[in-house]
Amino acid sequence: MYGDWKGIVRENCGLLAAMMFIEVLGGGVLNSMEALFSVFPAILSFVPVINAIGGNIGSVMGARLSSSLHLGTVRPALSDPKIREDMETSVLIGILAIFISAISLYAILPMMGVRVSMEPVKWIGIVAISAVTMISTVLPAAVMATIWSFKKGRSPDDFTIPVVSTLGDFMGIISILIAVKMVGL
Amino acid sequence: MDRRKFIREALPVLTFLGTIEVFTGYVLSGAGLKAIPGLLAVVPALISLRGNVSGSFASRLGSMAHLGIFDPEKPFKTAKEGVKAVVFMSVAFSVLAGIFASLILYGTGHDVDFVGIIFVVSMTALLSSLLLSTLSILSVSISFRRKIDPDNVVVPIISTVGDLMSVAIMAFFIWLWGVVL
Repeated sequence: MYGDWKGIVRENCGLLAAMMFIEVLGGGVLNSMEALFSVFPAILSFVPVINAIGGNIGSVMGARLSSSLHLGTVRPALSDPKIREDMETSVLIGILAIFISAISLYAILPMMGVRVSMEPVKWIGIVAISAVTMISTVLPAAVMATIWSFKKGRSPDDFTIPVVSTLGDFMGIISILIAVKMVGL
Repeated sequence: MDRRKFIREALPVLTFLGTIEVFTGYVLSGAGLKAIPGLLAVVPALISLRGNVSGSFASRLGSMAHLGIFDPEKPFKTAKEGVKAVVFMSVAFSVLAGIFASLILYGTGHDVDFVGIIFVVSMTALLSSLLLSTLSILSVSISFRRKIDPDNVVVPIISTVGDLMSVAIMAFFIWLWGVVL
């Protein structure tokens, strides 16, 4: 069904290359935050957590929306009330998931020998700001990417998931950076 | 779109997978990234590339299983071309990411160990793409035989295990680079 390996490579390499460039830009920001991580290693441990949850909630939203679009139960427009409702629920799930994980992180890290060395209030502040920044970027992007690829006749599975998970990784780093700047250390 | 069902199913999975990522972060913070200046900049690209390439491979295998063209008796034969594509794309794009990141860092006046970065990213991509392809094929054929829908389990397994595995493999090659030097 997908032919030989060269066919698969041809089909995917444009999108992968674009995503790779965005990731490297995010990595450049991460690299410039290195000094921060040597003082507060707990923040580096939080990066994969928020990236994964942000990417996953976006992918889940995209997958649900693309099924509904295929079934014809929603219109491909941001104004559709069912899409709105699903986005609100996703915001709730995403923020709760990030909070529960961040609280577990605060308890688990010292057991693994990583210093948290930060007041709980600051930790909660950083988590809250980065969660809100992350979710408010990733969810609209997931919805728009899914609607766009659906209208263009591309499979949303092949398009939304790479786009949203890459954006999740990029925004995870940026949102932690914004949160750290706002809360201060 | 039932709101309660959505929360009940998605919240535990996302929280669990997110918390598992703590271990990835832990391995990452202990991986000795500082030994190779500039390597940290390639880490997100390396991890997400693995997710994009191996994740879509796994989801493609799931579709093949649904269409009845994935033979669970000869899983490796059926998936051969897909594995070649995964390994090729993983290594090629990791090396490209390494080159691109090095150029940016060098241009902005940061320290870069170019040879070290290329060694670690290419070896990590090669080994992790081989292991993750095997894991994808095994998870699809096992879930297929047990009548579990591969779409529901394989991609989350690959993305979570894959993150942890890539970071652990990278830590190994950073260590090896230090020993060789």
